[in-house]
Amino acid sequence: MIAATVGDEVISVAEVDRRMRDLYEGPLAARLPHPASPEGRNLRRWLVQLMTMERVVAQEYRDLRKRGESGQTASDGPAGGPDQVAPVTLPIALRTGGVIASVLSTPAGQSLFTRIDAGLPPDEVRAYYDRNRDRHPGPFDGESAGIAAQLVQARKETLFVRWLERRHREKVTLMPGFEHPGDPRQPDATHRH
Amino acid sequence: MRIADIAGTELFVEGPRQIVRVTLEEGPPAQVVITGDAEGTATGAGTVEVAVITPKTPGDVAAITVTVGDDSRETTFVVAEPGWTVWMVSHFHYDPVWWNTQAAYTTTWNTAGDAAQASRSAFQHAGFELVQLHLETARREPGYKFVLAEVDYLKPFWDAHPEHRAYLRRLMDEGRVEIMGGTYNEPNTNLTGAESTIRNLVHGIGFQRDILGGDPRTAWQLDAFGHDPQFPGLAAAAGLTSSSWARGPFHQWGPMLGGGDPKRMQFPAEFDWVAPSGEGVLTHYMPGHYSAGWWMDSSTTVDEAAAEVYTWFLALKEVAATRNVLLPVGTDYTPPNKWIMDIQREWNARYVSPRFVCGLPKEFFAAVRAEEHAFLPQTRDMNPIYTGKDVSFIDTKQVQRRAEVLVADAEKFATLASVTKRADYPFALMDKAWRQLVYGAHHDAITGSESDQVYLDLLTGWREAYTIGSETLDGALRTLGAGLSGVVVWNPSSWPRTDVVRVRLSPPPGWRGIAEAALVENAVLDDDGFITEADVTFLAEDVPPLGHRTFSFTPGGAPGGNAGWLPAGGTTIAGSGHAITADPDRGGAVTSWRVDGRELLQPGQVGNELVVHDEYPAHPKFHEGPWHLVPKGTKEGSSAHPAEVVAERSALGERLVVRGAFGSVRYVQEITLWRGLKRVDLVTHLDFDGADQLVRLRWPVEIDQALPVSEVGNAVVGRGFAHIDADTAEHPWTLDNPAHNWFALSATCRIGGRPIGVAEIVAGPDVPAERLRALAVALVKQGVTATVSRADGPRYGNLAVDSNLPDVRIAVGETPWPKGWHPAVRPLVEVWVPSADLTAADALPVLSIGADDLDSLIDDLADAVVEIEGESYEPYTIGLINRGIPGFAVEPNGALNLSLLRSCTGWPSGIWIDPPRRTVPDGTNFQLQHWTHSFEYALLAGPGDWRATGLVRAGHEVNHPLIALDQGVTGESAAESLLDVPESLVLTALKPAGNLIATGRLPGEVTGMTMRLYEPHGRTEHIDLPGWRRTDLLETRDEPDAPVTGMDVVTYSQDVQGGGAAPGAEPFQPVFVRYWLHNTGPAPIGNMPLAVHLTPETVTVASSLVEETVTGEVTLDGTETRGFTLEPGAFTAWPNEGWTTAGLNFDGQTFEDRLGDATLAAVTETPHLTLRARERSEIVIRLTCDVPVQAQLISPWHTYEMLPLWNTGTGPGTTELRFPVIGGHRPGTWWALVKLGYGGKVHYTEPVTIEVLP
Repeated sequence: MIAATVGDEVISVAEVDRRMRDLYEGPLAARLPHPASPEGRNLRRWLVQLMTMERVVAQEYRDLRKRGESGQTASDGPAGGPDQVAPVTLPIALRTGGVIASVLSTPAGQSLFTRIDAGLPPDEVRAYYDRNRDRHPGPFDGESAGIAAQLVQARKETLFVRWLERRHREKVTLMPGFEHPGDPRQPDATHRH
Repeated sequence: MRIADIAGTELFVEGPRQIVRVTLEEGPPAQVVITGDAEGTATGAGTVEVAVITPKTPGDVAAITVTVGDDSRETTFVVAEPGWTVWMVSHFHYDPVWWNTQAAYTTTWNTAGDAAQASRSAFQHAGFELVQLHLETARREPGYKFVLAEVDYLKPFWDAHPEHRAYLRRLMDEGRVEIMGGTYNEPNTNLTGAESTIRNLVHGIGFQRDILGGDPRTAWQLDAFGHDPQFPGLAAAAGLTSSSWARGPFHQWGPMLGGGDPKRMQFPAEFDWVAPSGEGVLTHYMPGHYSAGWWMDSSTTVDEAAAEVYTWFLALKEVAATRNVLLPVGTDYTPPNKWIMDIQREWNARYVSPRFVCGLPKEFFAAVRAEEHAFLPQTRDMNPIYTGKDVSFIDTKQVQRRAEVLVADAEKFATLASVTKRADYPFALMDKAWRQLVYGAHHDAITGSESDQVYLDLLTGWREAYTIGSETLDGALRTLGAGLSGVVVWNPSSWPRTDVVRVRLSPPPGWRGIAEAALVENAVLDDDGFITEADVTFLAEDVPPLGHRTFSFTPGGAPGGNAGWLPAGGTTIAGSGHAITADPDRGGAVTSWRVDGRELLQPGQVGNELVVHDEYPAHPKFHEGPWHLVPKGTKEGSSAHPAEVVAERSALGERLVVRGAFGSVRYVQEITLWRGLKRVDLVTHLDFDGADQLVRLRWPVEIDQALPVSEVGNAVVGRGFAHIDADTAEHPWTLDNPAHNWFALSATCRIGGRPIGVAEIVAGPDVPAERLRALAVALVKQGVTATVSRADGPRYGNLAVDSNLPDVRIAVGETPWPKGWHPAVRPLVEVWVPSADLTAADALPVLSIGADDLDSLIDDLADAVVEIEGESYEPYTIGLINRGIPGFAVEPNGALNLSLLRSCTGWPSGIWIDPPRRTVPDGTNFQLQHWTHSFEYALLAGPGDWRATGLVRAGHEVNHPLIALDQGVTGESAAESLLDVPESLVLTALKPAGNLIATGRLPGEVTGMTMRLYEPHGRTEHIDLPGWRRTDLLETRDEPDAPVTGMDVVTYSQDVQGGGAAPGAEPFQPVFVRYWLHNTGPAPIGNMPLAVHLTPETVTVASSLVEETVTGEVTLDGTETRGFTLEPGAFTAWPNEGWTTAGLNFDGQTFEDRLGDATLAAVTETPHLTLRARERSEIVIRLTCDVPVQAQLISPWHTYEMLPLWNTGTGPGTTELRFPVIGGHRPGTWWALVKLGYGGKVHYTEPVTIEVLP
């Protein structure tokens, strides 16, 4: 039984069940919904979201390394050099959402993130400086580097999330019973005002 | 063959030229040529967008030939209209409390523990983060605009993060943020009195306009579970000009749920929402819900997201009144949408129509007004939505009603004490009481939709309002009554009253009883058998309005003290025209109720019956529990079981006492007929231990053709029948509604022999909107709400779409119906069925008139009767008055049902955020209500309509009992009215003039008073009030004097010198400045106009005052100080040099912020208290803490007299908190626990059982 396919790989229901079992045998067990309840099935769906996203990241990372070996570069997303490493902080996790934050904490996710090329349009730094002098009262020369770093970081987060979600969309097929928990068509979707 | 598909679009590029999409089969780019009625050329592969010009006009069909190479096709497309704009309004909906706590929703969601994450979506954030995320986006994106609304997060953010004030002010100046809503929160105005709604506007606009400097113009009631019909009038009177929301006139999710067609709506999304007062605001209903535009956030490309916006445009434009579509881009607690600015940039670079603009509600409404000046008027009742809200956590609705009444009555008499006796007015206390009521009116508070922990938090708010109201009222009456003697009875109403009144009296030594007609109960006798104190009930006759009459008693009467209820034998009581019989074999239910000889019950049916309906935990399809009534269609009634019935008599009247039990309920019912009163007073005491059940109380009365009517906030409207026995899995809409003081079976208005209550006005194209407004207003002033539709559009009355149903149609002008009165083909009860569809032309009676006859119909409606030759009707009314039990349902056969109590196990019942989780002592969720309840209600019946029966006054009187004070038991005769009010109006508020604290001002002397009145019967009144001037609702501008029209709500002020401002302070000091972390609701007493905040980096002190400059000093770690002088609205900051506490003394209170963790250990020494009446005991909590502890005892309604101390605290260290318990006279089982707030954390002690034995 298949829960989802990711590219040419398969995530089996058995794998999902195993991860569920780990959860239900773990420290959170007492607070988890009954697995047969709608809430329990939605928890399972979230788990599948996480597992498929992990698999997408692993595949992208694998392909990146392959392309690196063959001298190719990724044209549709990750690029750039290792000098652009940015630590994943709680604010990033909050801005990017739980599932993505979770994969960002893995070495593969980190490595993909650092390769996002977030070039700023010309004059963006200057325009930001001009609009936000309350925050940047000093001369432009002294403020510009800090502004650029901040804008690049925000843009990288945005682009990374968009890229990863797009790859997830392209690569992942979810089987009935494992739809996105927020999908209003799935039978356990809850409208909670 | 190259052409695969040809499709017209609603898209336009420069020109404007309409886009025709031509899809080519695979191949190299090719030139596409369109000729015919429209012409254009483009080159491309795949889908090619060809811009065409056409001489045809929008709506026409254009015939074209499309040529690609040697392939040619002929087809047609519809010429679209350019000039459309989609206003993408970036917002987030914010509930200050719901399943999660105030602390988590305001700031601590990330660290609030596992339970706080369980139902959280990945994109959701706490309030402070949300404001900052939107501000950061505004800094990066110069075109980004967004909305901020509720005071619940704005006030804390404004105080705790003053560093953002300048930037927020700049965004306001630049028109990039709209501070809006005009209300404190999104209240459920259909569950409170209108004065609570008014104070919500006062505090919302006061904060948003005066303190923040915004310009709120749009009421933003996104999520409210239905709306009070008077709301649009109140909003207009407060200076708002528009409103918008998502629930109603359709069901909770709107007409588009499950792919539904919004065109089923009978009027455009922009309409003139008109109140029974005749006032209203331009309103936009959100056909796709308030979250419609949010979900494009999960798109993975900008094109995909833009395509989703375009899909919404195509759907929403179908119900738009102008070429403007409002697309709310946000949902609960959402950050800025990922795509909104990219869409604006990229889409508008390609197309000129529709434009996709990140804009503000005020821009949307301005654009709508620029294109159209008259909108269809709607007096439609935007109810019922989420019927469970009327009964879930019923105890909170009871205490809310009582607190609201006490606060309003306290305000009246404290104002009179100030202006007649120069007494100081307790501005700060009364302001806090109102803010607690306003906070509790939120649509996840008074609705009972909250989790168990939040329920406990909310109870302290109503308790505080109740306590401040009671103490202020008592103090004001003692001031006003100084020098009077005897028993002084006060009348809080604006008309003379005669009613029973109950008071605890301490007669002089030597009394064995009372000579006058009185009930003497619960007497305490001394060793010689003399009364030391007793509860005395008597009939207080002719007490002057807003004044007093003294009563004097003499010793005598029955020896032994108690002259209470005595056995009378039989099972029938009679008096004041009533005769009531109960049957022990049928659960003690009433088998006959005669009024002046007329039997009111249906043959074979019984009244006052308790009926327990089985419910689902949550709706099988919608998955909603506490806020949705979900009966399964099975039930059990008390009449199937025997009970004990005892008839009793006393000097004041007769009563029946019923005792019984079945299933999950044990009950005691009292039915009392007081000599000299027209109404029947009833109470049902209930002990309940069921789950997923709804307990209704049923009176199956019968009046030919009569329809349900219900009081709402300061008005009365017709409301349809309900279907309470259907299985909601199949028929989800029971059509229960909330009533304010009462509901009834009556005839609010009639056409010939047919009572009407809810109308559809079907207008021909020859009748303009303005004239329809006059008809809709004339109808609603007689209690008939109306949906105004056009004859060529869809009809109102399909429960698949509409949240309620009409019972009559009035066709005006050119319509399909021949002119004249078309009586119903079938009786209403035959068509009014579960899941009814009444849209057929002959489903309802129709009055069809010509456009020329409109004025005469309007004139005819002034007496609520439209005469039809040969038809007559004798109205009769039976009303059921409630004390905070708003949920009602009238079955099609006429049976009145009152929803007493409900136990729902559906989510978020039992949810608990801050462990250890607490429950009722029997281990169940608080939502299940397993304790002793008392429900008070009354019946009134008589010939004529509800106006003639006097239901408005009776409903007011039952809820505002006369107040008696013991000032010596015997004394001089005296009577006086302290305020002259026209008797035809109802006074709902009397207060010091102005709204000082709400608008950022410090209270000083009372310099005037303001009263609020409303006309209750739909009649125009020319009133003369010398010395008073008419003002707007906010008292900011004078209004021209004019007649008070039917159901109008009016405000008058006069200048008069009163006393000064009495100080007010939180009972426990120091006040923790981040009050929201203790889940205590609105800001502390005084509204904290000066706020000190500490972070590891900085100390700030910020002013929210708008006039005063303040000088003071901040104390750091108790040793160092920093002085400051703050201009209005200013703040100052210092680097934190390692301090962990910051203190500030202001206006008689000490405020403190503190950093660092705090620890607390608490043990309840007294888990179970058993006591009898008047016995004393204590709840003892032994605790150790390293910071000051705010301690609030929480217990349910009906226990407050037993637990007089509730709001206190203790300093750091090991201490014992002792809360006295005094046994009450009513036996039962309740619970109490103590919430401990310490340095921003909360702990709830183990619940204590309080058992009072008979």
